[in-house]
Amino acid sequence: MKGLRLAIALSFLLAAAAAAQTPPPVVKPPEIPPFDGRQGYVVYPDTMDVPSHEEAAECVARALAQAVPAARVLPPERFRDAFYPWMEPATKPRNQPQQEEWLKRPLVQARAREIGLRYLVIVHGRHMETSIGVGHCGINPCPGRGIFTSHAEVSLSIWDIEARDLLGRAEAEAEEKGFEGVLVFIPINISPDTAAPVCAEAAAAAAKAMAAGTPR
Amino acid sequence: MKQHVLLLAAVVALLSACGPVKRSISLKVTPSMPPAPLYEPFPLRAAFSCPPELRDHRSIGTEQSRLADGTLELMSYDLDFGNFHCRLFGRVLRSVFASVEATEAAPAGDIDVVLQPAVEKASYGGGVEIRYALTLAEPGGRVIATVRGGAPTPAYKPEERLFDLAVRDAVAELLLRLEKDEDLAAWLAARSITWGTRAAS
Repeated sequence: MKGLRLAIALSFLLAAAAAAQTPPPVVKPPEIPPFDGRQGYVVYPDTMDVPSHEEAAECVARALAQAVPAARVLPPERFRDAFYPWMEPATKPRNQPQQEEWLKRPLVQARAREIGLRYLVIVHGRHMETSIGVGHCGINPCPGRGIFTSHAEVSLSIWDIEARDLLGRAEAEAEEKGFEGVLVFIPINISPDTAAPVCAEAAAAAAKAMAAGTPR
Repeated sequence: MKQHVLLLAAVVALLSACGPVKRSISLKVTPSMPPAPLYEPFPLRAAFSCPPELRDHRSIGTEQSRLADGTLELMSYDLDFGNFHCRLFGRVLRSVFASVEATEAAPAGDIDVVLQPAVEKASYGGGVEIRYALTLAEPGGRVIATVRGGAPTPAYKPEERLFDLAVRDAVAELLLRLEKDEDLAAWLAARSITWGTRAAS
């Protein structure tokens, strides 16, 4: 009986510790000088076969839309269709020289002008969760998971299509603790949204780069 | 003896439990057409005749794959594409050559190249895989170049879009390989046919 009380007390302490380390993230829209809203941008995943890149691209796109609500945004599917066959998983430029070469193509430049696209933001993302308990157990919340660490990182490359140039790169990462388990028969799931502040930080950097434009 | 029989039965049961999960599927497949390619057309007059095997194309086979939970899956598939590949190439190739004449018979006189598409693979199981080949030949039959394109489309993509994505990826890769093909470039150069302003600034 004494052991059970001790276990319950310890569980409460662990949950409280996890909760204390994971305050709900407050995502403030960053202060960014507005860039020319007529010149649109697209946020595109680095690799479409990697779900973490696609999720990160969606997350950055949301943050960027919040940061610069006036700018024109081209949905990634429309961008992919407009530049078919160049942006498919098997054909997308893999590195900076290939990207530069692609941007030099007259057809690419003409199409970008036609659809009012100036900037291309390519997103590479990673989100990992590690726990000392079991990783996943098919039940939500998983009783045996305990305290876990959520790590999110996002890196962007921001291209000026018209200038055929890399405007800059931005990186952001964060790590927070969460808790998932059952305490005194009450299921508890404290999962931090680690990705949102990371995306907001990266999006702010991208928006600043686009606002500054390419030095001529 | 009884113990041996029981042991043997247990081993057989264990082995069968470890074996692959067998599934079969029969589908009528009509993927979406990929967008018109953003492509600098080759300055060539082409003739395109869809081969009979693609006019009513059916792909039957078995594909082995490992599921997310580690189970081995043996998928028997029967994919009925109907006339899809003919419609696909008929449409895509119009953006790739200056002119494309669809012909059932032998190409007429004013033709530079004859286009012969083929489906090298169309499979289902642990995702979808479509592989195309396109052969360019002189009207006399001499092969100029053959290019290929295609890769497996991962199973995590939405099921209803797997074939759409596999087709558009295979065609995209084929078109880019055609652009970079050295045999075709040499053939064009030998005829003083200039093509390619892609790197001009």
